[in-house]
Amino acid sequence: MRFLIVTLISLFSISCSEKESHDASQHDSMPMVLESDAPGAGDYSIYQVESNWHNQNATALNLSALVGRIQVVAMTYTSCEMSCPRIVAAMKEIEKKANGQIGFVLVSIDPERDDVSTLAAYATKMNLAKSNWNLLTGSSDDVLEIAALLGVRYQKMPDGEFAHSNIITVLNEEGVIVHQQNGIAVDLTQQTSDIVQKLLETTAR
Amino acid sequence: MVLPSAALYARQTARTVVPDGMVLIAAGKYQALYDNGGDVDGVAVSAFFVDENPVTNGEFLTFVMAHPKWQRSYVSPLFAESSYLINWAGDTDLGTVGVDQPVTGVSWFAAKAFAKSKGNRLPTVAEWEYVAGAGQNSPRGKDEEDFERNLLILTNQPQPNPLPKVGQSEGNYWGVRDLHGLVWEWVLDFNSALITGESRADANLERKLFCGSGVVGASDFTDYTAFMRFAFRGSISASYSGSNLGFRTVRSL
Repeated sequence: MRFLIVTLISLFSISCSEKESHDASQHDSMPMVLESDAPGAGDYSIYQVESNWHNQNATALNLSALVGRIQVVAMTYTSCEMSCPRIVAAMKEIEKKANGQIGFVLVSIDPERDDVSTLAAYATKMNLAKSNWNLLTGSSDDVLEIAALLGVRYQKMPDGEFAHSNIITVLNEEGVIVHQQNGIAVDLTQQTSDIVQKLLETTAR
Repeated sequence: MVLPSAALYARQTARTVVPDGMVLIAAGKYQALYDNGGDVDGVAVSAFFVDENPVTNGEFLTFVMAHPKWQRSYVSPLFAESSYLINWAGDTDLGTVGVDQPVTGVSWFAAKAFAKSKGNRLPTVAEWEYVAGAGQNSPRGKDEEDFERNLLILTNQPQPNPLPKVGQSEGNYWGVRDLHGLVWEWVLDFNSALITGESRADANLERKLFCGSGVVGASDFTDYTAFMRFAFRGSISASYSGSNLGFRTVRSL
């Protein structure tokens, strides 16, 4: 079977255009396509989704704004006291070894409580108030969608806490998933760190 | 002065018009299969509209013709597996597949996009289970004789090939058809059905969702068909496009 490569450039021009993101269903059009025998990397980029987010600085952004840099992504929520601080700690460990060359994204699974000001306070408290960290909040629908893309499962419990997967995802510069760490054990974090290093070396070459 | 008839009055004063092909579901409580240690009275479900029948191939064809990026050749592999709409003859050609058969081979992303194009959405687990839990004569099928037994018979039948047309089964209390025994159906929050790599010791859904020792966490041990649905939802990813999985849409009031 023949596949069609959707060119990355056309995708980004779609998702960066503001009017498109307001009502995608009204603006569906066939993207420019090139024929090929296999799907291109762009076809697997999670940046092709049209979800809308705000970060801790109240900046509105689409995921495509994250393009061009390796991103380490996790889904957490700020009032979580069990595993989320450990996920953040693991991400900081990865950051330490990457010398500020990569980005970090925390998507809140609790958009009801995690508004922009809560995210900003959390960023300060956890020492994440830096330009390479994006703490994102969006509609519950968009949160479900990115969870589906990342394979993260979560459920709100009756006590208001969330049960959730502890998955740390590495996205390459194009937004394609290149590695997923399932759990927060030290050796797993080390492995993710090594993979990020290799990616950085490949990019530098 | 002419007084309107009771029926006309009811129609005029109804706060909402039921959309074509949909059925109004009154608010109620859904007794979750897994109560997670709370919600003893069940999960509150607000009133909503639901499709009377699962979405058909004909309806999905209309959608992909208006939204070519959801056609088989153009859909991103991120959003659908290679089995996406595989039983169709071509991008916009159903071939031998019937227009009135339920559409299958659609991913969660595609089902969600279809729903959005109609101004609708996918049902939540609670909404779907609430509707599907109705019997013939009451919103709570469990109170009716043979309810569980009939569901089990329906669910354990091999999937007929080709699939029958939608709408041929008897509607339940709400008038909703084909909830059991035709195709599995996507729900919006399918990815809440199973937690892997769970972090919190008191909320280990994964254990509760499997048979054996895990079953002690369930609220109703006789609801075998619900166990099957929960296990199925827990086993699939959002790009899954299996030949046994379709969907229907809902709309909030």
